[in-house]
Amino acid sequence: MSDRRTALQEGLVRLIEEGKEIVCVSVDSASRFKKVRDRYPRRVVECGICEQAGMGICAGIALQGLTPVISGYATFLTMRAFEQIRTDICRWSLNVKICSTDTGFSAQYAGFTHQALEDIAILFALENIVICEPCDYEDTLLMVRYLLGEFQGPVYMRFGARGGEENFLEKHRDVQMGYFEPLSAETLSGSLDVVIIALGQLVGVGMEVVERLERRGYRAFLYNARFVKPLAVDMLQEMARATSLIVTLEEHSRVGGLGDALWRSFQEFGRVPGLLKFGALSNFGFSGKRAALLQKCGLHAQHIEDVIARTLEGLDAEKTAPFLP
Amino acid sequence: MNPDTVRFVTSVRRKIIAATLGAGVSHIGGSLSVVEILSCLFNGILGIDAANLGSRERDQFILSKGHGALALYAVLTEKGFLPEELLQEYGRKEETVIGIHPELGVPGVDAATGSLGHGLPVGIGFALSFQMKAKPFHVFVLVGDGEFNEGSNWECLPIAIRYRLDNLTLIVDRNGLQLSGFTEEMHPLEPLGEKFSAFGWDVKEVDGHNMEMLDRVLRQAKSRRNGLPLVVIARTIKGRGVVELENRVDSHYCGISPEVARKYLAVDVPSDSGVIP
Repeated sequence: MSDRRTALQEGLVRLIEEGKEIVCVSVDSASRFKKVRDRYPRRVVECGICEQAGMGICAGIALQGLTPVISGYATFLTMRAFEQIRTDICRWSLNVKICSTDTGFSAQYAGFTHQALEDIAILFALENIVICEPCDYEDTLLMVRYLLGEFQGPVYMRFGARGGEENFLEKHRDVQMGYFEPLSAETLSGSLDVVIIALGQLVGVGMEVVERLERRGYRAFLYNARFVKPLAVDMLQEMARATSLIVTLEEHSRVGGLGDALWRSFQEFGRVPGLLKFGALSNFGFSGKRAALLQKCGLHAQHIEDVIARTLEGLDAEKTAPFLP
Repeated sequence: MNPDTVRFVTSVRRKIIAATLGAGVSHIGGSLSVVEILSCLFNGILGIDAANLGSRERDQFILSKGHGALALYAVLTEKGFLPEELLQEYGRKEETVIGIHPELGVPGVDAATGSLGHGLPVGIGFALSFQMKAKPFHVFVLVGDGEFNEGSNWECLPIAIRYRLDNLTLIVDRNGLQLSGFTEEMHPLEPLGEKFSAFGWDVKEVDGHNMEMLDRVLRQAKSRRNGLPLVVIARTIKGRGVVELENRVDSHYCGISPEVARKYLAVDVPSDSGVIP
């Protein structure tokens, strides 16, 4: 198995081996910490199905100088325990790591109660928290090492389902706070037709879109987003200089996610390129296979390619694009 | 009560009354009900002194009923941990660290509180950390009885049992009142002790204004090694010590008239009970 959740467990075991004082907090979500529990059973605290208590306990553990890592369904962690995240953790920049699972459509047939399509939007208003998502197994190992093992402060890291994930690269670039990971060979300079930023497993869709666009003669650049918050301003400025069209792909509502984070940042420094946001149609998901739900939302290469191409050709983009600022 | 204790408790009550008069309004009722509990904790129960005030390497105290912060500030001031001038800022200065609810950064405040139902989970986090690090420190969490309406508290009870947290003592300020009414009419809690027992907790019930009894029970609480968390249900009177405010719904958050305040502030000799005559 080489999915992101496995990488989280392996990364945690390695950090504990190296002497990091990590305490894993389970809210009847012990499968997320199985490898830790097998090796270091005393490092896993079981709270039962109690997200509020679990999150508050994390705050207490962090105040005592240890590093709590809580994992469970993103919907319940971010909504049921939002106030603890805000009031007990983020207000004091406590070193709590929230590793949410089943984000986007990955909960599949569990439907809208279990699919987290607004978790980023919910947390975005909070100062001090890092919001991020690795794209695959290797990327997770790097992000866990940096954000859970080195960086001090609250982190919200998104994960998907238990398995069935794609891997994109055998070796990723080092993680730098607030910077997307370039996946294209060429540098971000000159005039690019389009820059695509994909979050999490949608990097796979992004790769396919880039291939298709290049076959049509466009110059496209792809990033693995990694971060939604914070975003490095110099990177965004460089991006805005290099292209007039930016595209975001995220398994999250188009409201309040990666696309909106970029839009707000561009507005702040007054240079707003065209922005196409691809994401879920609503914060409420549907019961079904992930692939089908992505298809339903237009989160597939063919549709994205068509919209980008039509936008670039200056056709009536407003009618076809999911969003144009 | 010995004269020093009486003097301490009386002085704390006067500080609460004076600060309320100065601010115009405070959570005076629930502050006055916890005066003895806090005075007891900070005089010999918590291993806290000026040298270790900002340390985590000592017993920890969480005022989960954060709206009782005025009582905590008064006790910390009486102990000399907070300067008198800081207490003067309460509800008066345009901006102050001495807010209605205690925040981190105020000397002697181990956890920021104010939103009800947050203190016990944080306290369990403290107790678990001490257990993991094999530290000999104790965690005291003081909750309001009305605060026990909040579900997050009940989530915690089995967790403390599962992890055998005998380094945790929960104190309930059982004054029988919450913001809008009497607890038993609003959201019945009784039989509260039996409920804790049913969860597997050790239970002690005390007169929350009797310093000797509180001292004995809280001292024993710290020395327990039976693998069980303890709850001390402290029977108290909201507004205790200001007859005009005692056991009244509207004493939750209110002011005090200069006439009434003067009556309590002018008296020089404290009574035996620590309640200002």
